Amino acid sequence: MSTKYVWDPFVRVFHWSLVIAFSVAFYTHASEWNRLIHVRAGYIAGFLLLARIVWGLMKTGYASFKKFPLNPVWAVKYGDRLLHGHAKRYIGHNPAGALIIYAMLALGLIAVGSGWLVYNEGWLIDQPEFLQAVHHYSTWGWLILVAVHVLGVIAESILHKDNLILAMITGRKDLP
Amino acid sequence: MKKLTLILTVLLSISTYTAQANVANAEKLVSIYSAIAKNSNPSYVGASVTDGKFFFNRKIKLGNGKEMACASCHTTNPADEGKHIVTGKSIRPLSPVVNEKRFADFDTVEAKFTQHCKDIIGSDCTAQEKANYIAYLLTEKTPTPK
Repeated sequence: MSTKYVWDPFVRVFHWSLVIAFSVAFYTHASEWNRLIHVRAGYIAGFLLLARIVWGLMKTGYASFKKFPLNPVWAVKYGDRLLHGHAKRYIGHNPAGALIIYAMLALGLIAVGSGWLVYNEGWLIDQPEFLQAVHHYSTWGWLILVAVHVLGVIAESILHKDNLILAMITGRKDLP
Repeated sequence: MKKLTLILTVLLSISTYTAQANVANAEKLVSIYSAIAKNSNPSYVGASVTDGKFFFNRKIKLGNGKEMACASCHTTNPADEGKHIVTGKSIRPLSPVVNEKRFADFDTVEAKFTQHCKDIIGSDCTAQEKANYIAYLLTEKTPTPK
Protein backbone atom coordinates (compact mmCIF):
# COMPACT_ATOMS: atom_id res chain seq x y z
CA MET A 1 0.00 0.00 0.00
CA SER A 2 1.23 3.45 -0.89
CA THR A 3 -0.46 6.82 -0.83
CA LYS A 4 -0.62 9.04 -3.85
CA TYR A 5 -1.43 12.74 -3.88
CA VAL A 6 -4.07 13.16 -6.61
CA TRP A 7 -6.24 16.24 -6.12
CA ASP A 8 -4.50 19.57 -5.56
CA PRO A 9 -5.97 22.13 -3.11
CA PHE A 10 -7.50 24.20 -5.91
CA VAL A 11 -9.47 21.24 -7.25
CA ARG A 12 -10.73 20.31 -3.79
CA VAL A 13 -11.70 23.84 -2.78
CA PHE A 14 -13.31 24.35 -6.20
CA HIS A 15 -15.31 21.14 -5.90
CA TRP A 16 -16.82 21.78 -2.47
CA SER A 17 -17.33 25.50 -3.12
CA LEU A 18 -19.29 24.62 -6.24
CA VAL A 19 -21.39 22.16 -4.22
CA ILE A 20 -22.20 24.94 -1.72
CA ALA A 21 -22.78 27.65 -4.35
CA PHE A 22 -25.10 25.45 -6.41
CA SER A 23 -26.99 24.26 -3.31
CA VAL A 24 -27.55 27.84 -2.15
CA ALA A 25 -28.65 28.93 -5.62
CA PHE A 26 -31.00 25.96 -5.85
CA TYR A 27 -32.48 26.49 -2.40
CA THR A 28 -33.13 30.20 -3.03
CA HIS A 29 -34.39 29.97 -6.63
CA ALA A 30 -38.14 30.27 -6.04
CA SER A 31 -38.62 33.30 -3.80
CA GLU A 32 -38.26 36.93 -4.87
CA TRP A 33 -37.07 37.69 -1.32
CA ASN A 34 -33.98 35.56 -1.96
CA ARG A 35 -33.34 36.90 -5.45
CA LEU A 36 -30.06 38.64 -4.54
CA ILE A 37 -28.68 35.59 -2.70
CA HIS A 38 -29.68 33.39 -5.65
CA VAL A 39 -27.97 35.68 -8.15
CA ARG A 40 -24.78 35.99 -6.10
CA ALA A 41 -24.55 32.25 -5.51
CA GLY A 42 -25.00 31.76 -9.26
CA TYR A 43 -22.26 34.26 -10.10
CA ILE A 44 -19.91 32.54 -7.65
CA ALA A 45 -20.70 29.19 -9.30
CA GLY A 46 -19.94 30.78 -12.71
CA PHE A 47 -16.58 32.15 -11.56
CA LEU A 48 -15.70 28.78 -10.02
CA LEU A 49 -16.47 27.01 -13.31
CA LEU A 50 -14.37 29.50 -15.30
CA ALA A 51 -11.49 29.19 -12.83
CA ARG A 52 -11.63 25.40 -13.10
CA ILE A 53 -11.44 25.64 -16.89
CA VAL A 54 -8.40 27.95 -16.69
CA TRP A 55 -6.83 25.56 -14.16
CA GLY A 56 -7.52 22.57 -16.40
CA LEU A 57 -5.83 24.32 -19.32
CA MET A 58 -2.70 25.48 -17.50
CA LYS A 59 -2.22 22.80 -14.87
CA THR A 60 -0.29 19.57 -15.32
CA GLY A 61 -1.13 16.41 -13.39
CA TYR A 62 -4.54 14.96 -12.58
CA ALA A 63 -6.31 18.35 -12.69
CA SER A 64 -5.25 18.90 -16.30
CA PHE A 65 -7.77 18.40 -19.11
CA LYS A 66 -5.07 16.41 -20.89
CA LYS A 67 -5.27 13.81 -18.14
CA PHE A 68 -8.97 13.15 -18.77
CA PRO A 69 -9.67 13.83 -22.45
CA LEU A 70 -13.24 14.14 -23.71
CA ASN A 71 -13.89 10.88 -25.53
CA PRO A 72 -17.51 9.68 -25.63
CA VAL A 73 -16.53 6.34 -27.22
CA TRP A 74 -14.19 5.51 -24.35
CA ALA A 75 -16.85 6.71 -21.92
CA VAL A 76 -19.47 4.33 -23.33
CA LYS A 77 -16.98 1.44 -23.39
CA TYR A 78 -15.98 2.19 -19.82
CA GLY A 79 -19.63 2.36 -18.75
CA ASP A 80 -20.25 -1.03 -20.36
CA ARG A 81 -17.25 -2.58 -18.57
CA LEU A 82 -18.42 -1.01 -15.31
CA LEU A 83 -21.81 -2.70 -15.69
CA HIS A 84 -20.07 -6.02 -16.33
CA GLY A 85 -17.94 -5.52 -13.26
CA HIS A 86 -14.51 -5.50 -14.88
CA ALA A 87 -13.74 -1.83 -15.39
CA LYS A 88 -10.12 -0.80 -15.04
CA ARG A 89 -9.30 1.48 -12.13
CA TYR A 90 -8.21 5.01 -12.98
CA ILE A 91 -6.29 7.11 -10.46
CA GLY A 92 -7.79 10.36 -11.76
CA HIS A 93 -11.08 10.68 -13.63
CA ASN A 94 -12.21 7.61 -15.56
CA PRO A 95 -13.55 8.17 -19.13
CA ALA A 96 -17.23 8.04 -18.06
CA GLY A 97 -16.59 10.47 -15.20
CA ALA A 98 -14.70 12.74 -17.59
CA LEU A 99 -17.67 12.88 -19.97
CA ILE A 100 -20.00 13.90 -17.14
CA ILE A 101 -17.49 16.50 -15.96
CA TYR A 102 -17.27 18.15 -19.38
CA ALA A 103 -21.06 18.08 -19.62
CA MET A 104 -21.31 19.71 -16.18
CA LEU A 105 -18.77 22.40 -17.08
CA ALA A 106 -20.62 23.25 -20.31
CA LEU A 107 -24.17 23.06 -18.96
CA GLY A 108 -23.11 24.87 -15.79
CA LEU A 109 -21.83 27.79 -17.85
CA ILE A 110 -25.06 27.82 -19.89
CA ALA A 111 -27.08 27.80 -16.65
CA VAL A 112 -25.12 30.68 -15.13
CA GLY A 113 -24.97 32.64 -18.40
CA SER A 114 -28.70 32.37 -19.00
CA GLY A 115 -29.39 33.27 -15.37
CA TRP A 116 -27.19 36.32 -15.74
CA LEU A 117 -29.21 37.42 -18.78
CA VAL A 118 -32.54 36.66 -17.09
CA TYR A 119 -31.54 38.81 -14.12
CA ASN A 120 -30.40 41.69 -16.33
CA GLU A 121 -33.52 41.67 -18.49
CA GLY A 122 -33.06 43.59 -21.72
CA TRP A 123 -29.29 43.03 -22.12
CA LEU A 124 -27.78 41.47 -25.25
CA ILE A 125 -30.68 39.09 -25.96
CA ASP A 126 -34.02 40.69 -25.14
CA GLN A 127 -36.02 37.46 -25.09
CA PRO A 128 -37.07 36.98 -21.44
CA GLU A 129 -39.28 33.92 -22.02
CA PHE A 130 -36.65 32.16 -24.11
CA LEU A 131 -33.90 32.93 -21.58
CA GLN A 132 -36.04 31.78 -18.67
CA ALA A 133 -36.70 28.50 -20.47
CA VAL A 134 -32.97 28.04 -21.14
CA HIS A 135 -32.18 28.82 -17.50
CA HIS A 136 -34.89 26.48 -16.24
CA TYR A 137 -33.95 23.47 -18.37
CA SER A 138 -30.19 23.92 -18.10
CA THR A 139 -30.29 24.07 -14.29
CA TRP A 140 -32.58 21.05 -13.96
CA GLY A 141 -30.40 19.28 -16.50
CA TRP A 142 -27.41 20.19 -14.39
CA LEU A 143 -29.10 18.63 -11.35
CA ILE A 144 -29.58 15.41 -13.33
CA LEU A 145 -25.85 15.44 -14.24
CA VAL A 146 -25.02 15.92 -10.54
CA ALA A 147 -27.14 12.86 -9.73
CA VAL A 148 -25.34 10.79 -12.41
CA HIS A 149 -21.97 12.07 -11.13
CA VAL A 150 -22.80 11.11 -7.53
CA LEU A 151 -24.10 7.68 -8.56
CA GLY A 152 -20.94 7.14 -10.60
CA VAL A 153 -18.77 8.12 -7.67
CA ILE A 154 -20.60 5.71 -5.36
CA ALA A 155 -20.45 2.86 -7.92
CA GLU A 156 -16.75 3.43 -8.53
CA SER A 157 -16.01 3.67 -4.79
CA ILE A 158 -17.69 0.32 -4.14
CA LEU A 159 -16.34 -1.44 -7.22
CA HIS A 160 -12.73 -0.45 -6.76
CA LYS A 161 -12.84 -0.17 -2.95
CA ASP A 162 -11.57 3.35 -3.47
CA ASN A 163 -13.20 6.07 -1.35
CA LEU A 164 -13.54 8.85 -3.94
CA ILE A 165 -15.40 11.18 -1.60
CA LEU A 166 -12.63 11.05 0.99
CA ALA A 167 -10.06 11.57 -1.79
CA MET A 168 -11.83 14.79 -2.80
CA ILE A 169 -11.44 16.00 0.82
CA THR A 170 -7.87 14.89 1.59
CA GLY A 171 -6.56 14.84 -1.98
CA ARG A 172 -4.96 11.45 -1.33
CA LYS A 173 -5.62 7.95 -2.59
CA ASP A 174 -4.34 4.60 -1.41
CA LEU A 175 -2.76 2.54 -4.14
CA PRO A 176 -2.37 -1.22 -3.88
CA MET B 1 -72.53 15.93 -14.53
CA LYS B 2 -72.78 19.68 -14.84
CA LYS B 3 -69.59 19.96 -12.84
CA LEU B 4 -67.79 17.50 -15.12
CA THR B 5 -68.90 19.39 -18.22
CA LEU B 6 -67.60 22.57 -16.71
CA ILE B 7 -64.24 21.03 -15.83
CA LEU B 8 -63.95 19.63 -19.35
CA THR B 9 -64.81 23.01 -20.82
CA VAL B 10 -62.13 24.65 -18.70
CA LEU B 11 -59.53 22.05 -19.63
CA LEU B 12 -60.46 22.36 -23.28
CA SER B 13 -60.18 26.13 -23.22
CA ILE B 14 -56.77 25.81 -21.58
CA SER B 15 -55.51 23.27 -24.10
CA THR B 16 -56.79 25.12 -27.16
CA TYR B 17 -55.38 28.29 -25.73
CA THR B 18 -52.67 29.59 -28.03
CA ALA B 19 -49.72 31.59 -26.76
CA GLN B 20 -50.64 34.74 -28.63
CA ALA B 21 -49.69 37.77 -26.66
CA ASN B 22 -52.48 40.27 -26.58
CA VAL B 23 -55.38 41.63 -24.56
CA ALA B 24 -57.70 38.88 -25.81
CA ASN B 25 -55.53 36.31 -24.04
CA ALA B 26 -55.75 38.16 -20.75
CA GLU B 27 -59.53 38.34 -21.17
CA LYS B 28 -59.58 34.63 -21.84
CA LEU B 29 -57.60 34.03 -18.66
CA VAL B 30 -60.20 36.04 -16.73
CA SER B 31 -62.93 33.76 -18.06
CA ILE B 32 -60.90 30.62 -17.30
CA TYR B 33 -60.25 31.68 -13.70
CA SER B 34 -63.88 32.82 -13.39
CA ALA B 35 -65.10 29.39 -14.53
CA ILE B 36 -62.89 27.71 -11.94
CA ALA B 37 -64.07 30.16 -9.24
CA LYS B 38 -67.70 29.56 -10.17
CA ASN B 39 -67.15 25.84 -9.91
CA SER B 40 -65.92 26.01 -6.32
CA ASN B 41 -68.28 28.81 -5.28
CA PRO B 42 -71.71 28.77 -7.00
CA SER B 43 -72.57 32.23 -5.65
CA TYR B 44 -69.63 33.76 -7.54
CA VAL B 45 -70.97 36.43 -9.89
CA GLY B 46 -67.93 37.22 -12.07
CA ALA B 47 -64.62 39.03 -11.92
CA SER B 48 -64.63 42.32 -10.03
CA VAL B 49 -62.35 45.17 -11.11
CA THR B 50 -62.90 46.94 -7.77
CA ASP B 51 -61.89 43.87 -5.77
CA GLY B 52 -58.90 43.36 -8.06
CA LYS B 53 -57.72 46.92 -7.49
CA PHE B 54 -58.20 46.58 -3.73
CA PHE B 55 -56.25 43.31 -3.77
CA PHE B 56 -53.45 44.88 -5.83
CA ASN B 57 -52.98 47.78 -3.38
CA ARG B 58 -53.80 45.91 -0.17
CA LYS B 59 -50.86 45.99 2.24
CA ILE B 60 -50.19 42.60 3.74
CA LYS B 61 -48.21 42.27 6.94
CA LEU B 62 -45.42 39.76 6.55
CA GLY B 63 -43.75 37.55 9.12
CA ASN B 64 -40.80 39.93 9.30
CA GLY B 65 -43.07 42.85 10.23
CA LYS B 66 -42.84 44.52 6.81
CA GLU B 67 -45.95 45.56 4.93
CA MET B 68 -46.16 44.61 1.28
CA ALA B 69 -48.59 44.98 -1.59
CA CYS B 70 -48.39 44.04 -5.26
CA ALA B 71 -48.03 47.78 -5.75
CA SER B 72 -44.80 47.79 -3.67
CA CYS B 73 -42.91 46.53 -6.73
CA HIS B 74 -45.37 47.20 -9.55
CA THR B 75 -46.31 50.74 -8.35
CA THR B 76 -49.91 51.88 -7.88
CA ASN B 77 -50.24 52.16 -11.66
CA PRO B 78 -49.61 48.74 -13.27
CA ALA B 79 -49.28 50.47 -16.65
CA ASP B 80 -46.01 51.97 -15.38
CA GLU B 81 -42.63 50.34 -15.02
CA GLY B 82 -42.07 48.88 -11.59
CA LYS B 83 -39.03 48.45 -9.39
CA HIS B 84 -38.03 45.27 -7.54
CA ILE B 85 -37.80 46.21 -3.86
CA VAL B 86 -35.07 43.64 -3.12
CA THR B 87 -32.80 43.95 -6.17
CA GLY B 88 -33.73 47.45 -7.34
CA LYS B 89 -34.07 46.17 -10.91
CA SER B 90 -36.74 47.75 -13.07
CA ILE B 91 -39.78 45.61 -13.90
CA ARG B 92 -41.64 45.98 -17.17
CA PRO B 93 -45.28 47.11 -16.93
CA LEU B 94 -47.69 44.48 -15.66
CA SER B 95 -50.77 45.63 -17.52
CA PRO B 96 -51.37 43.43 -20.58
CA VAL B 97 -52.76 46.50 -22.37
CA VAL B 98 -49.38 48.25 -22.21
CA ASN B 99 -47.11 45.20 -22.26
CA GLU B 100 -48.38 42.57 -24.68
CA LYS B 101 -46.08 39.90 -23.25
CA ARG B 102 -47.96 39.91 -19.95
CA PHE B 103 -50.62 37.27 -19.34
CA ALA B 104 -49.86 35.63 -22.66
CA ASP B 105 -49.17 32.06 -21.59
CA PHE B 106 -51.36 30.18 -19.10
CA ASP B 107 -48.56 28.06 -17.60
CA THR B 108 -46.34 31.09 -17.02
CA VAL B 109 -49.21 33.03 -15.45
CA GLU B 110 -50.04 30.13 -13.12
CA ALA B 111 -46.40 29.67 -12.13
CA LYS B 112 -45.95 33.39 -11.45
CA PHE B 113 -49.18 33.63 -9.45
CA THR B 114 -48.19 30.65 -7.31
CA GLN B 115 -44.68 31.99 -6.74
CA HIS B 116 -45.68 35.58 -5.97
CA CYS B 117 -48.69 34.66 -3.83
CA LYS B 118 -46.50 32.30 -1.78
CA ASP B 119 -43.92 35.07 -1.36
CA ILE B 120 -46.44 37.60 -0.05
CA ILE B 121 -49.54 35.81 1.22
CA GLY B 122 -47.87 32.53 2.12
CA SER B 123 -50.08 30.36 -0.06
CA ASP B 124 -51.43 30.33 -3.62
CA CYS B 125 -54.19 32.82 -4.45
CA THR B 126 -57.72 31.66 -5.23
CA ALA B 127 -59.08 31.50 -8.77
CA GLN B 128 -61.46 34.31 -7.82
CA GLU B 129 -58.56 36.54 -6.73
CA LYS B 130 -56.69 35.76 -9.95
CA ALA B 131 -59.74 36.57 -12.09
CA ASN B 132 -60.25 39.88 -10.26
CA TYR B 133 -56.56 40.69 -10.52
CA ILE B 134 -56.33 40.31 -14.30
CA ALA B 135 -59.70 42.03 -14.78
CA TYR B 136 -58.32 45.01 -12.87
CA LEU B 137 -55.02 45.06 -14.80
CA LEU B 138 -56.96 45.18 -18.07
CA THR B 139 -58.46 48.52 -16.99
CA GLU B 140 -55.04 50.15 -16.44
CA LYS B 141 -54.24 51.44 -19.90
CA THR B 142 -52.33 54.67 -19.45
CA PRO B 143 -48.81 55.05 -18.12
CA THR B 144 -48.35 58.01 -15.80
CA PRO B 145 -47.19 61.04 -17.88
CA LYS B 146 -43.57 61.88 -17.11
